[in-house]
Amino acid sequence: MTPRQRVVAYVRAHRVRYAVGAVLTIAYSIAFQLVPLAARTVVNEIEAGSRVTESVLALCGAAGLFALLSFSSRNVLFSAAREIEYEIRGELFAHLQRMPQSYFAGQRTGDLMSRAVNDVNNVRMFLGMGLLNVVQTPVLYVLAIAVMLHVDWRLTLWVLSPYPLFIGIARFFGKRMHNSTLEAQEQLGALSSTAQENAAGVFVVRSNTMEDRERERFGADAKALYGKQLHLAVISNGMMTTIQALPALAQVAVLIVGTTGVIGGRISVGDVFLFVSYTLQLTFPTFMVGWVINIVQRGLASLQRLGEVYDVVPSIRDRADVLPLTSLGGSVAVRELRFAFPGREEHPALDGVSFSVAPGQTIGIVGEVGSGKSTLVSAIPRLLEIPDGSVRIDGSDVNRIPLGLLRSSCAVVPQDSFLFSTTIEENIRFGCPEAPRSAVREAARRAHVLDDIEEFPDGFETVVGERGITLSGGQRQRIALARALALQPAILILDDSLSSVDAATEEGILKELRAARAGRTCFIVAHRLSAVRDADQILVLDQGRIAERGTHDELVAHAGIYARIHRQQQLEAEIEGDAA
Amino acid sequence: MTPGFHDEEVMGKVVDAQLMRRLVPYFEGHWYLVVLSFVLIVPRMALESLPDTVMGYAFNRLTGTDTVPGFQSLRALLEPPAGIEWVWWVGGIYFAIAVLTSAVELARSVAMAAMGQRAMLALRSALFDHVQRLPLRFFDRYPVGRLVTRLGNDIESASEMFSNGLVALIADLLVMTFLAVLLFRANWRLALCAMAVVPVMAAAAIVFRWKVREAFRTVRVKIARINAHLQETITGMRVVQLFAREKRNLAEFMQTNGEHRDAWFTSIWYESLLTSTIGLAGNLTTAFILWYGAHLVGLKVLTLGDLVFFMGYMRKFYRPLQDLSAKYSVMQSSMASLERVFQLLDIPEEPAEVASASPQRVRGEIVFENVTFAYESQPILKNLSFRVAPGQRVALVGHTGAGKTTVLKLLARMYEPQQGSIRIDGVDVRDIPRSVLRRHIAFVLQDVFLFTGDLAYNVSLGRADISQAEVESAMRTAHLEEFVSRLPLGYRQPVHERGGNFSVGERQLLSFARALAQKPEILLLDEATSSVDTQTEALIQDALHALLRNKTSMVVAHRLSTIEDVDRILVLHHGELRESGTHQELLGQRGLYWRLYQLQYAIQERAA
Repeated sequence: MTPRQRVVAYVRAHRVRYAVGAVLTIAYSIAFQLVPLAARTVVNEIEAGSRVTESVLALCGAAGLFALLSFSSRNVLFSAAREIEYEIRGELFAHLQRMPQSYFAGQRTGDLMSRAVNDVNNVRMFLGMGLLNVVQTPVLYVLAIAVMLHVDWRLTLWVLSPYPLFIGIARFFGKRMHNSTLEAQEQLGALSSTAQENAAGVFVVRSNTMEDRERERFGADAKALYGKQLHLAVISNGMMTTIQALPALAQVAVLIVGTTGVIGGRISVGDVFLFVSYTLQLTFPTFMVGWVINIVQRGLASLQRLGEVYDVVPSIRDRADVLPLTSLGGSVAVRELRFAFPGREEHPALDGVSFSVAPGQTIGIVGEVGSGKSTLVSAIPRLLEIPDGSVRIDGSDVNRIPLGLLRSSCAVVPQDSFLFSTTIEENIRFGCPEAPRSAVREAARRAHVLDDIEEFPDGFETVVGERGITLSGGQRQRIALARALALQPAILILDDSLSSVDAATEEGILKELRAARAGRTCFIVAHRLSAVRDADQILVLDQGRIAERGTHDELVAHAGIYARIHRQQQLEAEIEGDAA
Repeated sequence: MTPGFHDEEVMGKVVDAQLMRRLVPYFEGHWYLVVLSFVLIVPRMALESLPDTVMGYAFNRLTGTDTVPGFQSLRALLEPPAGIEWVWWVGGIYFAIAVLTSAVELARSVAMAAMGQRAMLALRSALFDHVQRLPLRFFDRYPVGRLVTRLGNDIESASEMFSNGLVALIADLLVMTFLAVLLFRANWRLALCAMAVVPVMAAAAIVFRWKVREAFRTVRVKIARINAHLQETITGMRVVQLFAREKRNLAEFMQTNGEHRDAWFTSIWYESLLTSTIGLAGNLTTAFILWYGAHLVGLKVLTLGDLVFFMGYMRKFYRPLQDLSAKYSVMQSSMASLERVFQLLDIPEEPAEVASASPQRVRGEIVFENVTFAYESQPILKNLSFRVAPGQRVALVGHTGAGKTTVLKLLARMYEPQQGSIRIDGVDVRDIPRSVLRRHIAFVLQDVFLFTGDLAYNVSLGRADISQAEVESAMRTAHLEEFVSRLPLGYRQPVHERGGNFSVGERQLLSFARALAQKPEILLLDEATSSVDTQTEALIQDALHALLRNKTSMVVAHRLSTIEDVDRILVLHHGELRESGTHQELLGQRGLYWRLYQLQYAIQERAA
């Protein structure tokens, strides 16, 4: 869809509101003419010395109608724009939630945020203020000119004569204004980069006593920004005052031509008053034209940027050939699994991995950084797009298992143990919102984090994250583990998720997991071999392939990669132990 | 986190007297701009009042009188000289007034902008200066992004106060008062009639404004929440999807999203009501003036021109009320930004130095005596004591977290120890000003930080006393000559943000060149662990030898070759000195060092 088509689609979806808005706007434009017309009649009557009461009442009526229409047209159109903003934002949010992990790997959060915040805002401005004025201003002008022409065409031409200057002014200032704004923005960007560098490199700055030089550097940026801002102020105020002078010029014309006309007996004093009123009332709409053009352009550009997000079709969703499953067990078969991240096709992250796991087994996965451990376990809950048939759970291809079922039977404790800014209880309950407090407690106990939680003044109600308390890495990991355990999954995946937990606690957790296994399949990705020592099967990955496999004892005896890592970790442990 | 989204929940006052008072010093040296901005309000007031007088006069002439509404004294001016039609003369004067008004407005708005921007320049510089004096600890906790927002966008937003907010508001108020006075002077009865609507209007405006304000507060809180929720979902998308939480998450989002929309509906309702009510009041006032004026004209107390004059004034009187709401929200966000800026300014700087010693040269004797230090509550160094003789080469070894780099940081006074003393050549480092102390010390860190600028700048770091020849010689010694010769711009080759266009090895060598050029007597080096190809490794080893020559040096060592070469090895364990001696001595002890050494071998063997 092009941006224009999107606008049409939005307006069509809200056609009733917009139709009402359009009718109100046109009625408003008509009422706009009534007020000066009524005032003109009153002035004529005063000059003639006749009764004015009826005309004044008419003027009051016109004013009332005008106010009512101005109120309702604004209210209807602006509210419609807010309604659309609400919908776009919701749509965008839902759309993002359907995107695969590989999409987020290629996006910066800041950029997505900027689309969801700034671009949605620009679209809203366009669909509200922008459309209102696009419809209103021409109607307003046409009607006003018609009325003026009807009263006196010669004076009308004179009154309108300064307005072509507007085009010249727009030409002269428009481009300069644009460039000047851009330059100021760029300089602000440069200044921000300098500040960023200074803060990020603060250690180097301090250790080399560069503070004074940094001050100079930043000072030069700040001064340049000052210059650009001042230049912008001169241009924009120049434009503003020049545009404001236009109605004054029109009034000079009214003054000279109109007065001559009255003296010549061609028109009445009230007519002159009408023209004076018009020149004043049309000032603001004229003033808005440039601004509206800007809003429309920005709105269209933003629609395009939003379109870029919408146009990505979410690939991970229930397919047409989804299997009618209602529960899943814990047997996993991986056959010739191959996966490459987009743009890195020549270096596949997984290159022909095959293994199978019986329900209730524990699989350890070890290997160097970048050997494909996390990628392998991400393929099981279908976080990645993988070829059909390469991963099967209970004999069913994961690509055909209903996503909801797959994800609720297969719990992952991710590496970064991301927690949301809410209470600990809500975090543990994240995957099963209906779980009772007792289940939350039990999950916390089994993840060996219950004691920690109970030591917090607010217990399970403690808020964590940005606006809450700061947890230690180990506490975060254990809460993330509790979150996964609360799901009571058939398959549990620990993706290096006990790295910040001390050895003794790790031991306790692993023992707990073994005891409460009850047919649950468990994948443990780990750097520390102690975590996988008791696994039924250990896979050693190297550059996307399984280099070694077997039990701990078998692998130690084999004298390969695993044995080497084992020797090194033993040494480290000895040193720690010695010193303690 | 992207800074700024959460900050929105902080609601600023519209005018915070305390903040305004704090701004005063930043106008220092530019009072003439302040005076000019305010003085120019006077001609603006005068010029604002003239066009309606002239217009009224024209209407009077048309209806057979020649009084001047408002200013009888202007009569002489408006009387055309002989030979000129009065129509043209009055038109000419009207034109002249219009041109003058534009000129004065332009001058005033530019003066106002200049005043604001000047103050912001001073504030921004002061803020940056302040940041340079904040203790290093501050940076451990304050996100860089937030700091950049304070220095960049927040000050921009505060400057809006001058161009669109407070000063414009003051000018508007003065003009309104002035117009009211003139109206009463011209005809107090009619003025009273015209103003009768004002209190009603003001009351309505205050009520609606209050409602809008309430709605707006909700809007700000909700949008901050929406953005926080959105951001959290994007960063935690993996977890959201893994736990199949999409539906519920969307429902929660739509709840806030809907509340935000509803708050806007309320706001739009009252805002529209306010705008149209003010418009209505203006029109009704016109009607009222016309009606009562017609009566007065009939009594011959008033002319038609007087009415035109009155209506013109009333229109001007109402105009500022129209865009009050825009100015209001500008003020609110400016004040909030200003408050955040001052909050940062209020964070205490590093205490001023009472330094007494400022040695020109140092021999390089280093003594740590019972030094205890903690970043937080957990002590990193415990009662640490050792001595390094001038010219000695010392290696620090130990486990991750043993406190090795902390020793280096304390020596350069990047942090201050809680207990004990550190001396260089017998002088306590606390008695040496940081800037003097750091001249004698060069730091080479694992993570090489490069500045935007060219290669030469990154070696001299902008020090004026390091000549181009010295830069080149340092780069030669660091084996960068060949590398530089391959670059199209040589020493002037620009470095992109954070040095993204250089390899790890090149960056290492650049950091050596940087240290060489600074000609320190003491070198502190945190050796890089990252692996490079064997050829680069050989270059680095050779450059390292050149770098360590004729200096006292302390090296956090990771490479066996470095460890074996040094004069003495200090083995740290959990912040305490466990062993000390030469490589051979320590191996003989078969203690901690011996084990560490074996571990190193195991790792290097694997990497090979």
